[in-house]
Amino acid sequence: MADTVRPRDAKDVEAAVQWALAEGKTVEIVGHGSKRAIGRPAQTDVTLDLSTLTGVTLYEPEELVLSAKAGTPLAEIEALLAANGQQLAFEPMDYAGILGGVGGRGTIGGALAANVSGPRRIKAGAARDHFLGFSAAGWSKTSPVTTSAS
Amino acid sequence: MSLAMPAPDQAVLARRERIVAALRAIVPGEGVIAAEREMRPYESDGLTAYRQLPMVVVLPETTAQVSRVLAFCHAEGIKVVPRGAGTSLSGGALPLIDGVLLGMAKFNRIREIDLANRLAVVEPGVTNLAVTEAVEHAGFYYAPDPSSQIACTIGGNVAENSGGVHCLKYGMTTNNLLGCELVLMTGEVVRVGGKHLDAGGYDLLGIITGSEGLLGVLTEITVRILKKPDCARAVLVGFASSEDAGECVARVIGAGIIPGGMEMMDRPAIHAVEQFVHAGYPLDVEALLIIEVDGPRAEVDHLVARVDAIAKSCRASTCRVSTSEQERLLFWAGRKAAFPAIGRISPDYYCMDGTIPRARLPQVLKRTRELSETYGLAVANVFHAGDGNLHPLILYDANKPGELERTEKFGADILKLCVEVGGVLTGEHGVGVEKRDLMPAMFSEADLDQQQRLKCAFDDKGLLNPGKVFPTLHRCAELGRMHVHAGRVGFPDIPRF
Repeated sequence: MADTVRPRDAKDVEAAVQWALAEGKTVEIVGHGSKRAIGRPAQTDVTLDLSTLTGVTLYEPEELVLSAKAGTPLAEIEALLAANGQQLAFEPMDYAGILGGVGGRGTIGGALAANVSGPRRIKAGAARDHFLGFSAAGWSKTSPVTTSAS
Repeated sequence: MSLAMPAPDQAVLARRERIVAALRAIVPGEGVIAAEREMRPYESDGLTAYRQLPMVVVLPETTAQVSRVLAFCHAEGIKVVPRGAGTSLSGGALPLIDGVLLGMAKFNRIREIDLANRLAVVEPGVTNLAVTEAVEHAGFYYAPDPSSQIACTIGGNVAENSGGVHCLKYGMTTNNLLGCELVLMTGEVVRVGGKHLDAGGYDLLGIITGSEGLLGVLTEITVRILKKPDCARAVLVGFASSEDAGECVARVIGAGIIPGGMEMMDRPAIHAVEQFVHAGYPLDVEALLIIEVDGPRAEVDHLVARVDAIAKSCRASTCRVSTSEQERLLFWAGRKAAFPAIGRISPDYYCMDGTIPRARLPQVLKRTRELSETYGLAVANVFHAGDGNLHPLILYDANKPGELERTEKFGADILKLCVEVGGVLTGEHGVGVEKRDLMPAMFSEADLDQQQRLKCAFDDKGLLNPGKVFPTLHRCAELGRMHVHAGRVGFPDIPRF
């Protein structure tokens, strides 16, 4: 069983990634692990659990834009949007019906990492079509990487 | 004109004749152009302030030829600049004195139309509008519609991730692309995506889209086509202030209405356009919105009434809903003629392209007016208001000494302002050479290094379109250096180069 690292903030994620790179450790990145039963289990030295990095950091209903930390539960985001008569522009599916486990789980980071777009894909587009920007800890650099968000 | 391009490779220039002969062996007949007079049409693109004759122009006709040209250039260390129709407004196709200009215009065939799967397979030199023309008999169209659509090519659209008036509702090129065939700098031919949505694995299509000719040369493109909406109606709304117009835009979107297009013009643009086209625009307003709703008739009629009500509640001074297709087109005629209309009132104009959060529009317009006074240069604004993409047109006279330089400084200040208010350097024109040196205003060194690492994965020698996008080019080996911690390299069992 791999050791689990639970970062408290982006700085911790960076430190964990830098450590793993420096030490040559393999890393599995998980949120809620709601899609973990797909494919064979990852055999890594460390599990980086991002489910503690939660919270919507920006929400402007009139700009149709929302930012959240990677481990924010989809359920939390969907509830917030619904309270404003809005919904995600894509439709990440809930895997519990197929894979078992508790329903209503999954994080925004996991949905984007897997490009989970759901049944409305053909009309509404994929998760990636509505993904505007991110910041992430990359390899061999000490500062996080940011892409444009318009 | 202080643009620094990569230092010419004198060794390459010294063997120009031999290189031209070798290229003629690959692309026979008229496909290799080496005479100065005949290369002249290729010396610049839509950013005409910059001109440079290439070393040689090559116009291949087949993927095999593209592959052999690139493999040859890779082996010989020769730079390559790909070009579609040359309509780039950011200098993306600006030639290099020691580089091959690879024109893709002969790739002009539509290879397949598959209505059942709502897609078209086209060559990269096909114009944007030609895709729509090829499918409109059956009631379909290709959604992204950049203003240059009669001339610009699909290959260039992918390279720049082009948008257009309708991208608010229908997405940019990246949202309408299904697959492509790409030749890498080594000559290797790869296929990404295909006649389906979302391939597994990395989103390579997303990386290639908007890569500005730095990653590979496209030789085939598969795009989504859409059913034409049953009907469309436009609302023409005038406001006494840009703040009111901005509020109207926010409230339309906030009400859950995504118009097919939502365009704004400021007073100087309205006046220039009205004199030119006589579209019946009100002249006593500070801002004019065109809001178009499309879809089934019942939905359109319902939404147009809601837009009309929202506009009036935002203190609109005039509000007209199109009652016929003819009237709708008239509303648009002015907007679509905005650039030529400005060209009529000024010897030259410089079209900027930045994107801002919609809510910051009044602030950005106000600051732009102040900068306009500081620089002593007039500016007119046309704006894809729905998605925050601003196109300030700076009016200048290139024949007046120093005026172009002043214009460029003014433009750079506007773009920095866009970044300051939380926006980005470009909406749809790309970075090219135009905004290259502004990239650090937007991205940290770590961000740019990460982007260059991606470039290195496709083109390790940095031969494909160098001098564009990145303010400084690092050698790939420098970027690839590994962190050594306590004398150890990660994964010591993997061989490194």
